[in-house]
Amino acid sequence: MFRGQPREVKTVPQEIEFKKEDTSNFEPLWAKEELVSTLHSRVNNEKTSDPKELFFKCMMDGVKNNRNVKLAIDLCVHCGACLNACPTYLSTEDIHNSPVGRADLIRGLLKSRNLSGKLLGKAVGAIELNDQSFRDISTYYYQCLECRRCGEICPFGIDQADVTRTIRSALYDTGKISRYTAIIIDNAERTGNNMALPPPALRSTIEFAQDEIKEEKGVDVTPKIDEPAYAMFVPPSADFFSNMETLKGYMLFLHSIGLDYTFATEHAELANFGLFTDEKHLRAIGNHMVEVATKLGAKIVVVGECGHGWRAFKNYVIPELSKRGITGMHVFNLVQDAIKDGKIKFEPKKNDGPSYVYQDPCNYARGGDMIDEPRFILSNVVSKYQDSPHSRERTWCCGGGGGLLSDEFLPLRTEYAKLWYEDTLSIGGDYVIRPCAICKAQLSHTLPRLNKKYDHKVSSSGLMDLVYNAIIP
Amino acid sequence: MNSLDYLLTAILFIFIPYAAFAIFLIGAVYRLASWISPRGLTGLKTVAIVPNTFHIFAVLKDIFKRVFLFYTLPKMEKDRTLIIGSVLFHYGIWFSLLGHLAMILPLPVSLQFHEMIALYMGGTAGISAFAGILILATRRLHVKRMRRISYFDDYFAISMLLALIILGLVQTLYIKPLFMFTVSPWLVSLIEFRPEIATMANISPVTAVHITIGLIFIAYIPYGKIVHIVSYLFQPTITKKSYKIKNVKQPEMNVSGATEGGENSATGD
Repeated sequence: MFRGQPREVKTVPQEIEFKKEDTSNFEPLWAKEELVSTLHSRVNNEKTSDPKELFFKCMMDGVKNNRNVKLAIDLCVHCGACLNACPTYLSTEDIHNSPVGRADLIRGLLKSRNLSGKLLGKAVGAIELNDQSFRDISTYYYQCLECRRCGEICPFGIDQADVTRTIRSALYDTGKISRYTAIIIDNAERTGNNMALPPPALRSTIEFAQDEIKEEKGVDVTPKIDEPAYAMFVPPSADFFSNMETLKGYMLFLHSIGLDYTFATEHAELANFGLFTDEKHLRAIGNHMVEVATKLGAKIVVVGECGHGWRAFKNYVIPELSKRGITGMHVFNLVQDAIKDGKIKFEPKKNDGPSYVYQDPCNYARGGDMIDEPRFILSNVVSKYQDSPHSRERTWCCGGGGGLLSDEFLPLRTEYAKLWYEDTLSIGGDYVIRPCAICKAQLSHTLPRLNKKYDHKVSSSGLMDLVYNAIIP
Repeated sequence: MNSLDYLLTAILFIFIPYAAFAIFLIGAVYRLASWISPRGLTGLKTVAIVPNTFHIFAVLKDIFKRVFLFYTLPKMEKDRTLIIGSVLFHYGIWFSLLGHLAMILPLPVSLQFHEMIALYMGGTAGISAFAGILILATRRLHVKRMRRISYFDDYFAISMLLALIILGLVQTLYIKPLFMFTVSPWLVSLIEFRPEIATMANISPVTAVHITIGLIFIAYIPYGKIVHIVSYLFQPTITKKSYKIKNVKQPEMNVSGATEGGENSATGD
């Protein structure tokens, strides 16, 4: 650097300011063209010169091909029930950032091209497809958490999450996808896990966990890695990275029941960001898991703690696995059975101290049918826990679902998170249990901010973490 | 009846009814086809949203609760007007419609008793529907966020229904006409495709307007939001079962590789 020249200052990107009733400033960072082309080349997408018209065409395809989306677009009576259900609307009060508001952006486009819209225009809510409306759609469709709370409360079951997935898919087809989800999908397809952890890193993490289990519990667990086994175990890759206690919980538990299982470095990922963004990638990532399980000769695939990953696994991967005679299940199914069969014993006192609150991850409760199993396990591993005031199918999203975990959304995510945080405080809880990798990441980002703002100390973890503490080896 | 009167009566009670029915039918077929033809479910085997609906009875129970108990609508939270208005309005309309049915399927009771039922039950149902729609319309006009999501179609449907309810109440509570000898024979003649309008020549103008708006409303049903009376039956999120996974029990597992294979035990769909 030359003397006298002003030193180049690396600017920290300014945090976007949260304003009530208008969150249009929270636009995601978009993926660069090169990355989009890479992703497109994997799923044979067509190219075009006019993105807006292509968007319209892809959107129409999505609406015409999917009954849930077609009905969702057709059905609304504008009763406003979803406004009381939607965490994004309740925390922002921006009408476009609500289920009905988001859907009306699309209904408006469709109306602008049908008779009533041509005759009556804005009176029936018609919206011309132009730069502004295209931007509104891409912005607000990336503020949806895809938590499906609206779909449960809507008298007609209109699930805006499925509309969001369809619209994001159409946006993606035109080259618009958030940088964060694009990178994650690319990582998953390139390396078999979202974190792009190479096999040596995965191996050393597993070895590290083995050492810790030996040290803390005095047990030699010896999981297979990439070897044929009766079961393939697939946690979300975040568990190899930041949720070590959860990973240790799986390993010690699977060892305790004597299951012959293997990790697969080729597919060490339960999460499937294709679910958030594009059906084609949902299938590509899911199919890869099926391939790897087949290659390893697994009879069952057992998965770890990840909400949306579980929804994608249960409703796409398991049906695919079953075509090959392979069964899929959640580790919680195994834990529950092991407890009932008396195969494992716990000392719940080991977890004494915090005031536990269980909060269902959205995709366990709405679309995952995984509600009672974690509660049964929890009642065995802690002396006492409470259900959140909004629980089971009425649970709040952590605020980071739908692929919104990126930095640019942090102020918005913190607002979304107030709903469950205030619920926790209202029943005197100070420890939130959310067995989901996205919840865990979102909580690790937002709890410090919320604890400071509300002057409380709330901490959090998954469920297998508590199983690990309480299990008698 | 002079020829002009006859023409007007014929337009009101022959042409408009059949036209309305035809428009209704075309719209209904078109709408149904557009719901049935999409086969996909955004890449998933099922998009069921209510947990643990593994059996058709669980699905039916949930739909029943949605339709008759409005159980998902917000209750104790901020927005109680929606459930109160909805219950009053919908139950009022259902019972009113049941009452209308008596016009083509006469009750085996005395005329006096029939009139009593019409007055008390019909009146109660009408007042309930009226109160309900007033609450819902007020909510829509008064609450800012509701105005933001309200469009011409919403106000159009409400206006039609409000007019129908008011005119219906005026007949039930004040005019108390005997439809058995006027509207009933006409309706039956329409259904039998040999329209007979002689009995309609001297009906009250209130009844004539009620019928005409009613017919326009019927024609409108498939094209607007009123389709919700049947459309939810096609919505896969609440009508499809959850996907049931096969839980392999642990004793089977530990015998490595010796358990089942190739069998597709997954139910659901």
